Amino acid sequence: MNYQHPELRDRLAAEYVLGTLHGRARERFERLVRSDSTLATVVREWEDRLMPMAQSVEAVEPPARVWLLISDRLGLAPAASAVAQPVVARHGFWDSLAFWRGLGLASSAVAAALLVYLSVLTSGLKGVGGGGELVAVLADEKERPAMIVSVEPRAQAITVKVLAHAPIAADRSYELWALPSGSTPKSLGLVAASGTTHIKLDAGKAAFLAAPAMAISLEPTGGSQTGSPTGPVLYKGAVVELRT
Amino acid sequence: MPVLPTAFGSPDTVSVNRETFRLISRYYPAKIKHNGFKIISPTSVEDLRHLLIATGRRDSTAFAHLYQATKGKLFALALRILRRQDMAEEILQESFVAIWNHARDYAPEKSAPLTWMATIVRNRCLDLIRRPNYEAQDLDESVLENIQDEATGPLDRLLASRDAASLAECMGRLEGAQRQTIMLAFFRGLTHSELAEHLAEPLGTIKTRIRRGLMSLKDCLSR
Repeated sequence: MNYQHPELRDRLAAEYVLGTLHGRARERFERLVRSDSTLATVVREWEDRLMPMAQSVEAVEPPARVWLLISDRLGLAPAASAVAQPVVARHGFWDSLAFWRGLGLASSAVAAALLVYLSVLTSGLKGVGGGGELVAVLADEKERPAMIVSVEPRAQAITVKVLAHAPIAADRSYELWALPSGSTPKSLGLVAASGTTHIKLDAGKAAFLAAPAMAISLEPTGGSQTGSPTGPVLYKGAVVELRT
Repeated sequence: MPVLPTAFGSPDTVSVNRETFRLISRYYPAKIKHNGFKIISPTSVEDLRHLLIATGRRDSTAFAHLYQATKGKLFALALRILRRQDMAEEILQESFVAIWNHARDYAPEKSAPLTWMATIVRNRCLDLIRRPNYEAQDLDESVLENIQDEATGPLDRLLASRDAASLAECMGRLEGAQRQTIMLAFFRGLTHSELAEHLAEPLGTIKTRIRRGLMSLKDCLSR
């Protein structure tokens, strides 16, 4: 075969990209491409033409374990792992699925989703932000926003607005928790089931504001007596800093 | 998804869904300045290009975002070719490891990012299905919903992607048989003989049909 003939080269390149070139012919062609940069260009042109067909498939979500395997194999930094997928963190009270299941959550999928939020937090706290106002939108596991929390760190004041009023049992209260990374949740106080709640934190609790996420749990009236959530976690969200 | 700066920790930004972003904007309109926030649109070629280049510089956060943005399409591609969930997961994993390792070789002026990545995935898939003992399996029902027969439907999805608009248009101009045969070849990696058998047509007909179809595409795409 005269591999120098331009029409042949073009046809072979097209068939190589399309997938109809097989076996020994394919192997021969691949060897040729490695040493012939002009031919490589022809191949690339056909790739540009035909490969967009690959985008004609409708996206299908791969299981979370795929990313875990990738980041494990490449030894990626925890921050990167956290961006892409839920990671079962190595330590910490909140980090075990068993804990989340114990809160009476519907399924391990929800538990895993909550771990995603925790995973957005990473090792180490920086200082108490740039002093700018902090905001967290707390949403349910279907990502429907339920409450907006705004924090004025210097005033140690928290404002919670309930967006969608949902009925709450007479013997229950909402409790707001700060979720510092790598340690146990810290109570910030009780939140009314509707309208706006203002919370002023004392100095001891103010340090809890340095947490990357917050959550609302359903507690007996008056809040958890144990210092940790005892009821189901209903809403959670990451804390973001607003820049002026 | 919009990306906002986090308080108190790296990564320095967190993705929030659009609903969240809209809410924050509504309650605190003075505080959100759009130029302060970067919107990552998964289908934006420009963003993918940056993410892939950054991956080549060993930026693992960019790589994670790249994975987020492209995992769906690439997994679907693998599923379509391999017709097996378990192998599709493995190929996806191996492909992204290869993407990480070879991102430095990605030349933005030479090919579109998703093209480059899809080629990696597809080549691995084709190598696998060509092994003599390869057996496709019955896919889970829910997965099958997303994969239609090559002969019908995919054109609309092609049209949905900006990058593939030209190809969609040119594919639309092919004869039905040419289009169908080409798509079968692309997604199944069949030989001419296998295609002839699958379509119950003479080998010579198949070869000519494909050659003519490819030349028509080349001609149409060059305009």
